[in-house]
Amino acid sequence: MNETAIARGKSNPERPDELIIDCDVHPVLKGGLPELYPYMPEAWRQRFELKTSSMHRSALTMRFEHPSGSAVRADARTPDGGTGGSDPKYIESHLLDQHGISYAVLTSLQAGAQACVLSGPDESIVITSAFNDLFLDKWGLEKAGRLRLAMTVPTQDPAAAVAEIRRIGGKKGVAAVFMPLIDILMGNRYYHPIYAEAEKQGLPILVHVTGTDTIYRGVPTSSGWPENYSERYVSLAQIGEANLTSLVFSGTFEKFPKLKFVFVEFGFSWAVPLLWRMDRTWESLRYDTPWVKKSPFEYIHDHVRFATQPLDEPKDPNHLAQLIAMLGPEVLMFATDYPHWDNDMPGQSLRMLPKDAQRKIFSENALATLRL
Amino acid sequence: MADSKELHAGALEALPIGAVKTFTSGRREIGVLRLKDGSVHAFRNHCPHKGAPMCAGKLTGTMLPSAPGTLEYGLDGLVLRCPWHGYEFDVRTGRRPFTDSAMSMRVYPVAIRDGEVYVDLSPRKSSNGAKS
Repeated sequence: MNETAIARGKSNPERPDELIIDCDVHPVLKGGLPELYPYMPEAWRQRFELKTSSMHRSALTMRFEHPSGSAVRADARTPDGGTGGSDPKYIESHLLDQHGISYAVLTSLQAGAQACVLSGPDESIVITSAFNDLFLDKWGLEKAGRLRLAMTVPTQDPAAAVAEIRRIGGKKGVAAVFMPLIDILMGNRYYHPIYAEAEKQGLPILVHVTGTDTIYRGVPTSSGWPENYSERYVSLAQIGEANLTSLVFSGTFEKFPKLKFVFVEFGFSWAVPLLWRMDRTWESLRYDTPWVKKSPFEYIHDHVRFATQPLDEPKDPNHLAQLIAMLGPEVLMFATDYPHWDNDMPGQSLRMLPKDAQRKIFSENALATLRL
Repeated sequence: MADSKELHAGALEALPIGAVKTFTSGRREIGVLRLKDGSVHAFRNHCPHKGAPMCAGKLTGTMLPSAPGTLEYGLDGLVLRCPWHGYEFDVRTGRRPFTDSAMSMRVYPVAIRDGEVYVDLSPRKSSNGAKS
């Protein structure tokens, strides 16, 4: 979509002169797995019914349950009492209209958790397809209105993931490929078929914390297991660090020169010292990975975007502005993470930045990266 | 409606105990809360951190500072926890318990006259007499 067309979105009361694109909103199926039954073959419906499978409270253990009982905002409940994020119309009125957001990309963490951990590989193929079809059909995302879909792929089976991108990646309303992470780093050749198909379709690969991180697969800390929600939450950035390093030194960006990656909800303040370290290492040891032909900074600038949420909050906001200047506002994309507790709303976010940096972060970078 | 300096929050007996009731005065939304001890407290429906609706927050107690591995619960029913980022405020003072943060929730004086509850919305005065 070109900028003229997209600028027809509603004006923004908090930032009236700006177009805002939110690249991280989470839809929820309040009916759980049975809501997906109309979108899957009968035999699979029978299987899930027999297993009395449910998505409710299946992701987090007591250890990592949110201290207040839910990561979803109490004030985001829908008018009929549903959990926040469970009604697309209410997402539009409560989030987009109230905060002047023109477009939002939906990433289903329920689908993501099933795709990477909670379901077996065959189950995950059926479940992710059902999720995608439900959002495109029942939620109306295929009409490409103000809500767009980061389609989920079953990461446990790269061939099936490719088939899913071929099946629906060209549909209107699909803005990105959400690839829930498993315990294989992103630079590994395991993912190449998925990357090749996404690149062919002009879709970026979007990665996001799924809620199952730290439960079954030993991440985010490779050196031990966190003991509580706060430890886990802070440690999630390590998933981003490890995968970004893997992408750079594996040469993935050379193999897929047109592909972009979007790191969502890992934060970004860690990226500056990480890139310094990568750059220094590459300067010294270029011959160790000779397929890395330019500075890691350049690869990140050309291929990687970080969603801004959760924004760090130094006592002096200018310190964050300095850090963004070091990283470059070209690599950041605004995100609210609605309806989750740690959301960042546009009115209170990044106001200390120069106007041109704000424009890049709130819309231009997303327009150039997502297929809106 | 123009902003008024006083909000009439109805009869004391009509206020539920331990639950927040939200009133509107001009452009302001005010949460009014009656505690078990009979006292009534009022606060702005706006978290000073990022503007979340405090009236949708949870009225609760909190964990007091304690030794590692131990828990001590206190301030039961006196802490309002923001529904977004979880910031906690003492409903009596607006201050955040157990931090030295200067950030506080706006609270308003409450008067009870003839069994009716009134919230004083006039600008507060600082120690040097200046209005804020």
